[in-house]
Amino acid sequence: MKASSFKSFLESNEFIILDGAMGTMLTAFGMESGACPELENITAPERVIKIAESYAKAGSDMVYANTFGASLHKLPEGFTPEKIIPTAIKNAREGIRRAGKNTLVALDIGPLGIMTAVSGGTATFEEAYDDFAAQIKAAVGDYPHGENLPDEYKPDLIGIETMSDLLETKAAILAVKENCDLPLMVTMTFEGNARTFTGTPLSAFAITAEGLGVDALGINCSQGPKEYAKLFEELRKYTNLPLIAKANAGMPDPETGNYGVKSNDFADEMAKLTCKGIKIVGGCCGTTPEFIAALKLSLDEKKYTPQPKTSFSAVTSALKTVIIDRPRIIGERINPTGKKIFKEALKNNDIGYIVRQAAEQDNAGADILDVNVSLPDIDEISMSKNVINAISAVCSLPLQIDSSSVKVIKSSLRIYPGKPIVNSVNGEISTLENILPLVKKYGAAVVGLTLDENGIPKTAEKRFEIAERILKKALEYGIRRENVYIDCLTLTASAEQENVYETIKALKMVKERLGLKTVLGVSNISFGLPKRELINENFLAMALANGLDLPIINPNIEGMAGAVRTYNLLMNIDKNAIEYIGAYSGAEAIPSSGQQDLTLEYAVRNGLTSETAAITKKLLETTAPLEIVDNMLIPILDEIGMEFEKGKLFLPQLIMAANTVTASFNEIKRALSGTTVESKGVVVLATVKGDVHDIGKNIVKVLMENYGYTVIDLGKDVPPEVVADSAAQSGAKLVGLSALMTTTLASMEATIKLIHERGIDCKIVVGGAVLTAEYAEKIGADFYAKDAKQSVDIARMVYQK
Amino acid sequence: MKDILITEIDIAETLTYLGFKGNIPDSRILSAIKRCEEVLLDTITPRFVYKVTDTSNPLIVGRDLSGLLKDCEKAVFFCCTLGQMTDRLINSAGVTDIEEQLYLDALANAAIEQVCDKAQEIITNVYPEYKKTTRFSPGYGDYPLNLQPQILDFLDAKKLIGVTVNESLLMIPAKSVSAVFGLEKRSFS
Repeated sequence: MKASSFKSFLESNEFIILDGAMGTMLTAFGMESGACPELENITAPERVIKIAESYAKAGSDMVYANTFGASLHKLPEGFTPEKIIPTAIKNAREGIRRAGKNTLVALDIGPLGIMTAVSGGTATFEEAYDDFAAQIKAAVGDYPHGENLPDEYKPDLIGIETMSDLLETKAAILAVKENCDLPLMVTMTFEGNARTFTGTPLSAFAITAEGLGVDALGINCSQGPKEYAKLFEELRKYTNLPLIAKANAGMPDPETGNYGVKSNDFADEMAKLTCKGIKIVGGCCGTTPEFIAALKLSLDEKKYTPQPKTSFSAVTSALKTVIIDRPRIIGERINPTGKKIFKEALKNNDIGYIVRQAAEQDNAGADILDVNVSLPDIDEISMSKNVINAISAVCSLPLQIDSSSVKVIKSSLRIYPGKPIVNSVNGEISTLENILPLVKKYGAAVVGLTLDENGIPKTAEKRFEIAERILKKALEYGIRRENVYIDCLTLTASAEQENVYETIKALKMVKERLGLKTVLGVSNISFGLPKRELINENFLAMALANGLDLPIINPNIEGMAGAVRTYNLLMNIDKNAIEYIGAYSGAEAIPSSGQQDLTLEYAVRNGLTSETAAITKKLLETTAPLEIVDNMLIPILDEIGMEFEKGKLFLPQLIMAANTVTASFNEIKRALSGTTVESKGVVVLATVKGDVHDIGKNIVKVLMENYGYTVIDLGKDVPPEVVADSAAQSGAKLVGLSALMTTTLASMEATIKLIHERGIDCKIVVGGAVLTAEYAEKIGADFYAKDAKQSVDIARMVYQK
Repeated sequence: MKDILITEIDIAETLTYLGFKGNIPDSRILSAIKRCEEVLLDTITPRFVYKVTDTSNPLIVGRDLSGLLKDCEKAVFFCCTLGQMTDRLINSAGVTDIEEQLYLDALANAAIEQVCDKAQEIITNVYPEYKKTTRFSPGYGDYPLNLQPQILDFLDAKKLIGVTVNESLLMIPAKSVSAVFGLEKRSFS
């Protein structure tokens, strides 16, 4: 009954007035500094009751219970959400009863004080989800012996607030949606630059939260109401939901702890804000019942007018929103189909390789990245999750989850930090029924392929019919039409030349008659024909001219990304050719060095990358590839390494040379046309669990690769089991572990112990700032390397045996 | 929470972090460092938060810190950060260009020290009749590193500037520093 009263409240033209600060009031009522505020529910309930009473009297339509930090992560030892939350809600109700009001009570949920990997932390989505779920379950009586929890101990709705990590916010939202059916308000905290501390922009928050089905969203904490005006101007563009504003009374004084803004000024500024589509108003840090009373007074004469509806197609990562209002490139390279090295990387859990594919496409101009990691014999579910996490930590492009497995799609959607695209459904009823509910639940966009159990129809009309069918079904599931993207499917010109144009025709029909965004994988068109790029580029240009929004291409191929850039220029989308010029000015300026007589060693030592490549190319005309590696590159590296050891050269110079040698290797690989240079041996590298420093490990990796070793880079914050599995599966004779903190040496020791316990036949080398040779020996490592050069020497020793 | 403007990064300090030990690198490396400096300055969002207390604060423990503060009336706890985007920039560089990562990391180390210097200066200017001691961070001497979470809680650093620690006591964002310094009454004898 209370839940429905909140929802009817939302639909009315009245403002909803929240309460003010809890912490500020507890302190004013005598809570000791440094005490856990949630324990006051038990140790000093009168304070908590009095606060709710004061806010109810001041005019709050809804108060937050004193549960902000009632999570397992934040409560002191011995306290659980079940012990705190029902009592906190009861306390709030008691205060409201004393005030003689009918105020609603919200369960207040704050951040856990941990950070997920996307935001530079080491917590997982599941860890965050479980903690939030425990709070929700405690609130609704879903715990052992909680089934008889009386209603007055349960909240009327839930408020998630003060969030800065989008993935943590998503975990909290899902925990609410999956464990109760109470209304949900969500606010995050934004800085003046319109991003959270972890970099999430207002748009990505609004799009993601609305997709996940929250009832209202907005901003709390961080700044005073004056600073909020600009933020709401931006936020309202990206959502049709009622907006929430819960500002601070300015900032605290570092000595007295007092806040700067006065209650009347606060109320005036907040009242001005309401013209920006704000429906729900209240106060955060530093505000008191006096502020709420003033706020109520200032809104007395005013009525809420909903903002005009917006409609747009967009996807997001935690860091970036991509609006599909012009052609956007979906990079296709993260896909093992037909790629031997990629398949090897998947088998070996070489996440570093896959992340590099993401970074390369990002640099080449991709807007969105397709992620397909399906391969027989691997655990696609956990691989997909790991890859999404690893890419999201360094690359800000939104992702397209590409799998034929419903389970993979589901688990990936769950942990994705933002609004992704799902690739794909088709006209077959079973795919629609399996996948569309997931798309709806997780607020994603979806690609619909115009094929069904009878295959790909030949004619445009028949493909259009399937598109219509997919759209109809999507709408039935509550997915908005702007989130349905149709792929009319490219056929191979060499096999079905007469049907090539049907694809273009169908695309145009879908775009014009259904008003949907269109997707198309392009490169299949040229299969089996010579000079494929010529066909691909022209087909892409044709499709763009006929309304293609989302070409799926290899952006690393100059001509493909170039075709999209050219289209944007010629269609007056890229105003003043700013992006085009940005991409190509200076492209002609790279001279092929006129100096004929540069030696390979000189070029390497001086970091002359393009010259090094050119010299290598020339050498390859007369010299066998392996001879160049063994007799030229490695001796140069040895020489440089020796100078480094003697202190004649310094780390940057060593790295510069190593980087430059990579250019030479790339030429050699090209000369061997796809077949890999014979490996000197496999080395597994990882920064241990709990540690996120990876520079040292990266340096070792580059040097090892220079010397011809195959490096499996497991990344950072790597659990012992992952290292042991990789060592066992790859048959590596050497495992390198890095730790930079005294506090993470314990994980290093645990990793070594596990490798030994499992009887894996490999040597272990350790390194990192806090390590010593003695300590390395003590924790059971075979070798200690004081720097990258020494770790290469150790690899040589291990593989010589 | 306050902002600090950093317009250039101390290159000499950066070279020290890179291990040049007083040697001057060649112009190619210097210009690469300058290029990275530009990118880093565009990325960092330096912030700091502080609280002023008396020296009986229970977070002041150990002989070393007590010694530092022995003549002081006030103690200042503060925390500075370059922001999460700085970590991302450095981590992303690690994927594509390790040399760049090395420079960005060293530059960021120099930059966070500059931010700390500036923060100390700004705070001390609020108290003209006092002079400041050097700063002392958890993990120095006998001042335990495991006080880090309590210090950050005390400063409300998560909420005000987005700084927290993981279970290994690693600060997130990584380019962050927390520290204590003393304010000693100037004697006008």
